Amino acid sequence: MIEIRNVTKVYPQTEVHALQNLSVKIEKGEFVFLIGATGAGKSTLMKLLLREEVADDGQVLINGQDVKKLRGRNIPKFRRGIGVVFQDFRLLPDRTVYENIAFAMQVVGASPRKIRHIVPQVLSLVGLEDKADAKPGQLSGGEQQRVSMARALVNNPPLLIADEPTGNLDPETSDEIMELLERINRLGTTVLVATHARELVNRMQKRVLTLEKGRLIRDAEQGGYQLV
Amino acid sequence: MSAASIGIVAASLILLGIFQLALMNLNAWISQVEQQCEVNVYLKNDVSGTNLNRIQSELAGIPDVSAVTFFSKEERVKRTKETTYAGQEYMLEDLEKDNIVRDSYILTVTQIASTSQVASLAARVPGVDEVVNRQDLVDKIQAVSNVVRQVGLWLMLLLVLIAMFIIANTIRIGLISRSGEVDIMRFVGASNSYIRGPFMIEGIFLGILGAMLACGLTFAGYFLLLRSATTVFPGMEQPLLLSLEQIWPTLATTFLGIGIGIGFIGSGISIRKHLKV
Repeated sequence: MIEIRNVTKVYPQTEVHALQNLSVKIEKGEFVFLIGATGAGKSTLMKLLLREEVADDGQVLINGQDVKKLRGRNIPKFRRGIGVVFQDFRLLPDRTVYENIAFAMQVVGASPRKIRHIVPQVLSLVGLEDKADAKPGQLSGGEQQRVSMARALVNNPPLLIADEPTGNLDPETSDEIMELLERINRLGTTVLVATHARELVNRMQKRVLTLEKGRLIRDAEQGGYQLV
Repeated sequence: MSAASIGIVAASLILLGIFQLALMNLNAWISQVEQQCEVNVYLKNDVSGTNLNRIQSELAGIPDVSAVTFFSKEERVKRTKETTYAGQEYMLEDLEKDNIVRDSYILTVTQIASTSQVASLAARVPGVDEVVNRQDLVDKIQAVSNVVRQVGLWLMLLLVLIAMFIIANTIRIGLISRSGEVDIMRFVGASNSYIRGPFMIEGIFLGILGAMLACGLTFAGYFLLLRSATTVFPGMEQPLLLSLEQIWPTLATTFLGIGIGIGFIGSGISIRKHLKV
């Protein structure tokens, strides 16, 4: 699914070595946590996967496709294969839950019929059938995050990337979000979660990648959150 | 900000319009003058009688001259009264008493190219005071129109650049205020044209609105000019200025074309600079 080979990324303005000679492989259908202190390189890695940034050295392969070699006009199509969830939800405040999710389908040119068919299904997957007409401002943080997850999934991407999805949520809601991510994973989507939520990581017993100063210092199956 | 964009597009187009109208009218005058193919030969005041016959036959002997018409000073005053100053004849009373107006011959020349040659030969005929070659007039109008073209071009270029800059800024503000939406579109995989399209259309739309405003104001202004021109110079309206029907298609196409161009390039610059896809 994802293969990262000896990737190095330096931001020229600050000369920060965000990633140094990083190599890691994630198979299809895995659930992987990505942990590390702020500035360890988690966000940079996510950006490389989404082709927002390009590695200075090494290769990022997604489904065998070298991300660096993507031409400008093929990048949007490539991004449709990756669902993204952010800490700050990034919903459109003036549109309803339904419209927010439908937006992701409209943007990629789905037919209105297909949209009417799929959006309610995704809403029920995240447990928000009865909130379809609410605006994001009327929802709790957890509900908003579930909307953004529904939006990430609506185009049925094989890979879901979540960047601190529980960063703005209380522990109980965080549990719900993680459960939902796990369920999505069981349905066949590969899930990569960058997080600071130590207890959750410890409890869920998934594969854990630990980054420190741009290097992969630990790769543990069913690992916990240990700082070396 | 949108209003400012439309306004500046309209302002630059109106300026362009003024220069273009001046050029169109000057060119019309040139072709009108050229069509006449005439050389005016003014005689010295003391020439009379047999001398006139001699001068006439000498003028007729110049190659390419097809006709020689005598035009006495009395006739000239009368004709001027009837045409340019119809209804205001009193203005020419003094002219009749003094002898400012001279007797003259009008030479009709077979082709425009020969007019300067005919003029220089006519000037050598004894008794001839001055030769007014229409080509001189054409050259003068041409010189004026060249200056108008130069000045107009540079001014217009400057204003068009300003207009583009302001449109680019308007679009930039739109991009910033909708950055959340643009961001979402990017990470759900909207194509570049899907994201850029609305902003391009907005820029082009501003350009078109500016062009329409400019059309309206310029035509209104020209209409008023035509009307006042006919009251100041009665009887001369036709040769003096082109009619509205003669100018509007050219002007409207130019305005729309440039307006769309300004909008397209202006929003394009902004999108290129600020919209990372």
